[in-house]
Amino acid sequence: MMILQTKSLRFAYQNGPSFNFPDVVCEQSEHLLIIGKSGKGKTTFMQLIGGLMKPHSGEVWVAGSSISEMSDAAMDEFRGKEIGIVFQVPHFVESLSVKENLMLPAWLNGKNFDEKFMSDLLERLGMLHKVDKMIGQLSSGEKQRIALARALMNQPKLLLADEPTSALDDENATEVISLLEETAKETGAALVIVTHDFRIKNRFNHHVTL
Amino acid sequence: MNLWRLARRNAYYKWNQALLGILLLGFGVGLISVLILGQSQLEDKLRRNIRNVDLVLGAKGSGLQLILANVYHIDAPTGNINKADASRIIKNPLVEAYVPLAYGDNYRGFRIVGTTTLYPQWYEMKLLSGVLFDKPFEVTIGAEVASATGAQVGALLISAHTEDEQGAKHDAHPLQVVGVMAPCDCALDRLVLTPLETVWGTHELEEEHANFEIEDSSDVSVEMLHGKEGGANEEVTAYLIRKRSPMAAMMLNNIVRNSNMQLADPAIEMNRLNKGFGIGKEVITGLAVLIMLMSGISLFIYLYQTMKERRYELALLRVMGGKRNILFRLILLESVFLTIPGFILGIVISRISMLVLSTLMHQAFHDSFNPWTVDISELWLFFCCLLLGISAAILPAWRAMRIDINKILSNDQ
Repeated sequence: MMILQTKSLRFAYQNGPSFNFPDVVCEQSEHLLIIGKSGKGKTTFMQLIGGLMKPHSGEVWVAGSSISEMSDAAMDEFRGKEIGIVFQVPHFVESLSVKENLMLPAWLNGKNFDEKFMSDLLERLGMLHKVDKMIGQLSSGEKQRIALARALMNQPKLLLADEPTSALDDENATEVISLLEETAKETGAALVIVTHDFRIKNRFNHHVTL
Repeated sequence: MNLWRLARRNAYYKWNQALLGILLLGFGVGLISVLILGQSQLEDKLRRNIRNVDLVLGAKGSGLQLILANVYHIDAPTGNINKADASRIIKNPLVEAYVPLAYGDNYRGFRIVGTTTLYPQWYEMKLLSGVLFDKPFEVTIGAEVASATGAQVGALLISAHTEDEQGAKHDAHPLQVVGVMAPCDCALDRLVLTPLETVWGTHELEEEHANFEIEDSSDVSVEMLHGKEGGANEEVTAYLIRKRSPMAAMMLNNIVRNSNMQLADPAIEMNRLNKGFGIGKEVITGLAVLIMLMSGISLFIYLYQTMKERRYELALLRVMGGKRNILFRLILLESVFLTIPGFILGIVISRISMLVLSTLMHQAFHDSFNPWTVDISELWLFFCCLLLGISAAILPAWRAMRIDINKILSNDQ
């Protein structure tokens, strides 16, 4: 099943660069690596795919819906339910524990929190023992894993990762990529990684260069 | 997870950064609460003490002093008046009833007041034990006197002399406690009541004294009192008067004008006193409002700053599917949560202040406040705090609602 498809996407910043993006496609349980050097519009592309902003022209389909046509509110809701995003620098609600942070996606989308799903996910990520820790007590590698868990909590159809490895050393980078691949496969999500990190290029046979 | 929980956790996570706002709010609330409690309890006390007293007849001097001395028993009397002179007033048909008060000595700082049994009846005093005074040198004591001195029914009290020589005449005669009155939270709690004859130091009025025995109906004893007072040299400190008509005060005033006596209206004198306090009260209220406003501004600055620090968190909530208005409500609620410790601090400050005031008042007047009451106005104060929190948060909340999540998230790079 086709999860992500883009067509002739174009975006121009006011008084800034404009980008024409190649058409990309990603199927359920498949991986796509979008790779490019700085200034090639990687983040812009990611934000268009993730429904964080709208293209000037062209279209984005996620799980069969054309998100570039949606209203802001509808896009917020759709994104919350169908798209999980992992950012380069993971941010959390600092006042909450790991578990409470993982409860946020369900609450924000009016779903019931699935505690068993969370436990399984954390166990898979080797983070179950940190479930009651405060965010400030985690290392950056641990934070990235919790951010991954959070992106998957609503069992999205599309998992977007924006530069997930650039802040990590080789060892952690390899591990995070493995975890992204494996957990995406287990939850049936299509995985799209946007990166300038050529270290991970060889791990993916399906990649697009900007 | 819900909005309340998230807001509460956020509000108290770095509450020490909002400490200035919380402290200011606490001081403002504390000041206002003390004013409210002090005012309402003082008014309550004043009202309770005035009760049936429409007018007070006494020696010329300050009207306020006359009231304070004879209604509240907290000031020195203005002097004594001759009973015969006073009879012109008290036997006037405009006077419905009256209670004579003759100051005697004191017993360990508590005033011994010669009076009739009508006096405790006016205040609807109940007896804890024993009976009301009946014969000279019998006394019925107030609850505060009993608890402070340990005197009980059957005890013999030796009075101390007062400064005037009259007191010295009968200071050796012990007074017998025949009754202890239940507390009334009024001036009578602190008095030692006895027949007038005790104070006058005479036994010759045994006969007349019989008239005071009728206690069941105040009207009857008033009837009996009328025309029964005699003795040319007997002096009284004051008469508490219940008038028959609203016009009585003016007409009676005309009679006393050219004498060495005066008539004072407790309600009027207390109003005058209250007005005197009024200015001070307004200044303190103004100060308190100013402090609360400053706390609001401080909260506003705090919220505005943390909103900037937490812009990633806020953007994140949006990315995860949160609607704009969730951020708006979140910031408002956080602010409201921050005002709650401020309010609690204020209430604690007010109760401690009232306790201190009450102790000081007890030392000075043997009277005290109840620091533990809750006034309904404090509920309003609570709503004011919540409102202050909401007002301080509106602008930051609006900004939070309008954050540009793309800009914030791409600044990451």
